[in-house]
Amino acid sequence: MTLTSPDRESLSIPLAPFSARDRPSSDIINTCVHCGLCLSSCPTYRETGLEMSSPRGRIYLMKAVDEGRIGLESEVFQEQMSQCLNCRACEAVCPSGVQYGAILEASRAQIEQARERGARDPAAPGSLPPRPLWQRALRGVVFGGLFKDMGLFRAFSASMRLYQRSGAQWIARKSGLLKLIGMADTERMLPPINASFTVPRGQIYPPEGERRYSVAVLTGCIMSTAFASVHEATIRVLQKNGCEVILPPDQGCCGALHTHGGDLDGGRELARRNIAAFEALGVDAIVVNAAGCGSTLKEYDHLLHDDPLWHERAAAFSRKVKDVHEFLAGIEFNRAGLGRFDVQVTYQEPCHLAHAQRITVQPRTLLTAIPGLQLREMHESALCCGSAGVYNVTQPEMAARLGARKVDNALATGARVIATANPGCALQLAGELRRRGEDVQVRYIVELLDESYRRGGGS
Amino acid sequence: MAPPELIAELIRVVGPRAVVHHTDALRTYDADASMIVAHAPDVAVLPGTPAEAAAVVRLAVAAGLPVVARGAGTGIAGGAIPVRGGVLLSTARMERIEAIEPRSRRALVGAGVVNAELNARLAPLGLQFAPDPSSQKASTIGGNLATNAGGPHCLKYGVTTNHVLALELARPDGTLLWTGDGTPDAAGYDLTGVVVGSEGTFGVITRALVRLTPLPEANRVVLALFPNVIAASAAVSRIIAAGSLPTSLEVMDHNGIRAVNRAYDLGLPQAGETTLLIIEVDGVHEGLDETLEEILAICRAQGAFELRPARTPAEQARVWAARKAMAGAVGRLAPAYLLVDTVVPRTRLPLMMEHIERLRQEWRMEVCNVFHAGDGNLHPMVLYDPRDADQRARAHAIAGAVLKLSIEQGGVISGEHGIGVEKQEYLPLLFEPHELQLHAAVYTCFNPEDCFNPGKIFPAALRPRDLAAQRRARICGTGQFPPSEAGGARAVHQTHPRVADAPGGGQAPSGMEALLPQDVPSHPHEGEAAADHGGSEDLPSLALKAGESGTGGLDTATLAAIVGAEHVTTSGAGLAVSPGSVDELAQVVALCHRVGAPVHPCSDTSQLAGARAENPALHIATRRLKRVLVYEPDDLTIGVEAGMRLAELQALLGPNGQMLPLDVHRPEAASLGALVAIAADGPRRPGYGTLRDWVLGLTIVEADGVVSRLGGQVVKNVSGFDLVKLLVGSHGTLGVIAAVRLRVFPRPRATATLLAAFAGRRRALACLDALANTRLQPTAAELIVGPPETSGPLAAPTGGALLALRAEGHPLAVARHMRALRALAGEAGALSADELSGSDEEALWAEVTRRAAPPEAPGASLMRLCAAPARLGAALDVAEAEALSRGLALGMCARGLSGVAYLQVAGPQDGRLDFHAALVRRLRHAHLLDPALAARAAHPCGAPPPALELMRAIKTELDPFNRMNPGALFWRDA
Repeated sequence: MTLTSPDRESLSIPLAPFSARDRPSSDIINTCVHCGLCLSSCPTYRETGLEMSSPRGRIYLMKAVDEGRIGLESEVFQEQMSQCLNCRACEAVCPSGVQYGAILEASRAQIEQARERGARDPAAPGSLPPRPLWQRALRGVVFGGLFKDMGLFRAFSASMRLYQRSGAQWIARKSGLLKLIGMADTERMLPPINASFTVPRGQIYPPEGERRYSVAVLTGCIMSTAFASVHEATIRVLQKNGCEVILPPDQGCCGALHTHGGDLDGGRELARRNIAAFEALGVDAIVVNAAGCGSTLKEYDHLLHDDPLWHERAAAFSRKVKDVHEFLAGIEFNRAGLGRFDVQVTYQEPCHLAHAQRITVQPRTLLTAIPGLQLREMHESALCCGSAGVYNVTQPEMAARLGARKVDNALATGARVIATANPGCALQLAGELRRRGEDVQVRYIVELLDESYRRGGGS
Repeated sequence: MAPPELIAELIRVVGPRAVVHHTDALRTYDADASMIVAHAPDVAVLPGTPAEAAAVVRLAVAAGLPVVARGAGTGIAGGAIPVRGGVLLSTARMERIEAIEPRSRRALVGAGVVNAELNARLAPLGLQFAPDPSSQKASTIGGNLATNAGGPHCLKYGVTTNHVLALELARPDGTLLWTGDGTPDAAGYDLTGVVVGSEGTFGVITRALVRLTPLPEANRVVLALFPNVIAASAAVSRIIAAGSLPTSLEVMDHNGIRAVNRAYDLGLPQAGETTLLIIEVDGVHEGLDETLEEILAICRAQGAFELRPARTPAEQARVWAARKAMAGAVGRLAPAYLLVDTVVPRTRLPLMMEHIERLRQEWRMEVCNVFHAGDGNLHPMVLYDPRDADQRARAHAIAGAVLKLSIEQGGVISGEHGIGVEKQEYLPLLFEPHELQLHAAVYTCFNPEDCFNPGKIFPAALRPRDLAAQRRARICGTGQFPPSEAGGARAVHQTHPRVADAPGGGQAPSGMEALLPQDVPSHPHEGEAAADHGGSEDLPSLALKAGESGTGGLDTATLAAIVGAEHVTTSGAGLAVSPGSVDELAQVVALCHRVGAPVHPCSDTSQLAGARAENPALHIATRRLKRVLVYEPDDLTIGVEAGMRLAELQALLGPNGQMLPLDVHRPEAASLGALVAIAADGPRRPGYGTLRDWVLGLTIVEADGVVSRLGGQVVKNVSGFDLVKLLVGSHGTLGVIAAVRLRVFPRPRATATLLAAFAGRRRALACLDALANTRLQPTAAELIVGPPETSGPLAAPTGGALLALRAEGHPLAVARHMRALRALAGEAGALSADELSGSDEEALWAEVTRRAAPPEAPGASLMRLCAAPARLGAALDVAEAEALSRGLALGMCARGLSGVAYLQVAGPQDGRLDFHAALVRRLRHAHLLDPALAARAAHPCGAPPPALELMRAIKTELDPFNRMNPGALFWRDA
């Protein structure tokens, strides 16, 4: 057995090493024993076959930066940190238990921090060239404004609804303007915005029948506008299950886009606000109906682990968070009220449900409880659909490849409805189906349950 | 970095996305799962098709860069690390499953197909690709083949090499070559067998035709808990010794339990040194619980304190997922591990565990033992922190000690991971220098310019090219081939003048001579060989005149001085010697080498009595070589000298309740050496395989009289190339087989045969088709057609066909098979179906083997017809039509699930020859197993194989003067 020989390429000195703040944990990086069992679970590896586009390859790149062999300025490193969907399928299959999401998000934060340093002083040591001005402005508006102020967000959503309904969308699409500014793919993902928004004002919805639980619901950002109808369905389903449902005021976006996008501080700010909004309620559970939000909320304790004032509170909060499917399948849920709903459904597993939260059985338990519903499993049901937050904008090509792969697999089942549980997935699937002109619906599982309860009579 | 022109050319071939050349990106290819050494390639390429892969190889070789193939990079011996840079060829995009043929039980797959994905595709068809390495979720078929991967279920099903029919290789010149067409038992050297396990040094595997196995009907998994690893190992030894053949026997010690409990929540007790033994049995439902109970009783007797069944498929899946994720899960115990992959005879397991425990204490390190206990395949994982140089050194010290101890115990240094860079310096502990030379000689035939995965397997200081040159110098007296290289080598394969002169040989004959199973030398060619090399001063040879004896220069006195006068005889067939030991055999071969006399091995010269050869030769009889070298019944392996007769071997094994499941006609006359040389098969191959699957090791005498050992005495082995495969079926043309080490089997508890009669062949074939579609596990399925007989065990009506279907194993399982087989026969319209057992059954199978042997009556010949099982019926139709049109009588005896048929053809000689030529023309794989007739046949061994040139290169390299059984196994140039 030969001992490691020095890397022959280690002579050049990296310019921008990891900095101390939000540094990806060396311990986590070194937990990877390089076994490679993650490879076939990774959507980008499956598409490209490239080692650097695999979880093992990306961790290896992080390790190279961690050990000072390459720097943040490496375009390969930057590209791979961006190309990763953060779907965390690798995390679910990793025998060593590498917390991949944590080091990926930290690596992205390192890149953003170095860019910010570069924006302040291009000559600063360890800095990267800043993003172009328009990108910085956009990130500022999105991360710093839109998703932090729900009033602003609702106003923006309303304007989008106006755009869709006024004919402006038609003009923009037909005129080629969208193509001109390179926004055609992104624009197609724009959901039809719901007419009424869910505005959390401390409403309390009474349980149907005996009160068994008291739960609070996270309304979030896009879920409360574009998918407000899903919230309405969720509330009705919870009521059917003996839950008193509270929508606490002062809550906001969960911060997933921020933490995934390298703006950890922005994410922390939102986390603190949500913790404060929920912690005093004394509810049995904080129920979340969007997979991405649920996984973010469950990881507030990690996000705030360096914050002595908030860490304990975050941990207490995270313990209470339950995905809606997890919650329903974990109680004696109301099967008697479910009415017959003859429909063929295939299930697209949101990554942040299947991988980040390891919730795979419960959604199927709920679906198959619906009388008449046929569940047709698709090939690669847990392979990311390519949505992944802002991935459509940052990696449009890979997003399109994965979206097409997912819809191919879904259509192959012959199902008329694709069930899912996350706004990103819903938009991605609907966008791809619309592009193909396919008459297949995308529905949240809670919407199907709600429909079944409706058919079962009762209220 | 690769030169820009090369990168541009590569991009032209595979497209820009499939070429990686940025330095930072290339870093991700500097290690596999081992991280033993780190070295990045100059460029990485991901071809999408075999043709692209071949083009990449051509460009790389033209640029003078080595090519290193990589599948998923899950190997842990450093096999996929480009230690000398060059072009890394990733097969990740060659992931097409091109065809699945359920009836022929085979699939054509790209090298990059992930093992688990192939199995996911096969499961709905009731089939599996049996090798199940722990990495199967990610690892590729190409990688599995390169390392001859094993896995927990290989105890019952065998390793990767037992499940591959043919390979497509990208060669150094940028061409693609199939090692065969996948037809079972096709004549020629087993190139497929020797490429498997060659760790990417023999070329880039681009596609494979793999063998599929039916999924079992039922299985049982039990977790048995023992107080410590030594007790669990002892139980494994006892289970094997008791004659059970479970599907899996996997041991996981207390450290392993700690790791998987964390990862998989199996809830196993972690007290003290509690050790887990995972037991799986499979088969038909009936008898399974009883078989399992016998195993569990042994466990209890050996100290198992708890037996937990895993009942549901989900529970079983969790157990296996945990076991297979073990190597990765160790990451929860330590930042790194050193996995030592050695194999020892199974009886030595407890002893090895004691040694490892002692080493652990001595070096103060943690060791995690998780291993394929049933195969004797140890995997101690030494846990360490690579950032601590001292820990690292101690880990390596333990690993080195375990390797040495394994060799001392009769083991080998790799069972399934390969040598790679991890163990290259240890190879000389296992092989003598001249044995390494033999490995290198074969290596240079595939990889003459060192362009594939250089710097692997051989110790760093020993370049294979140099080793091969040393061997050539040893044999030829120079580093070069003899001056007559081309002539000498090709003569082996070319028309022999005397053959050309034979009747019907007016035009250049281009067939291969059938090797003669019966140890009767076919055609002495020594005249030519001697004439070719007559001029070499280093090689005094015989100046033969036409018609003179091919044994000239070998005087009886010199031979008598070696073997004793009473063991040298002369007859009309020539000189015959019977060496009394391997050493004497070696001296005789060395003498022949010195004087330039060809060597014709045979098992018994008494068979030559009365024979009158046109050109008498020297026959070396192995009949006195019949010592038992090693027999540890509890290991289920035996080593004997090559002259031992099959019947004698069975007599040795019988009292221990063991057997070799090979049935041939007249086993009292068939020596093991000869059986291995001709790769004899028996009707029970569906249940047990063939000699190719059972020969673990060989001792051979090379062309210059040097004795070399190939393989080992253990059931799994990837330590150096699998040269054993080259020798099996080589007809003595590469060396004289002096000793054979075999895997043997427990005698089944019960056996029975259903003999079903059908009105016609089609109905019988329909019954076979239906059988192939079930999950039954018959051990034999023989189709017997004509000639009509009115008496004897195979009496059948004219135009009718018989099926003999055998089942062995637990009595309940046998009874179930008989019921199911009878039902299948009934559905296919059988006229009658009789269940035979005891002496009736024995008589039946004796008759079947007689039908697959050369006919005793004059005017009849034996031929072997090979076809993919799905095409067997059509092949038999062709044979029947061709026989009918020539007025020949035809008896056919076909291994119905395997695709091998023996034809007994009676009629005028010219008619038989013409019939054979027609079979070759229409079906390719028709061997004429009749020495007298073969001399006149155009293609006695069937149509030339696709890889004939490579086979010739191997023959030339190993036997440059063509003195090893010349005249056997060759195709003539067209």
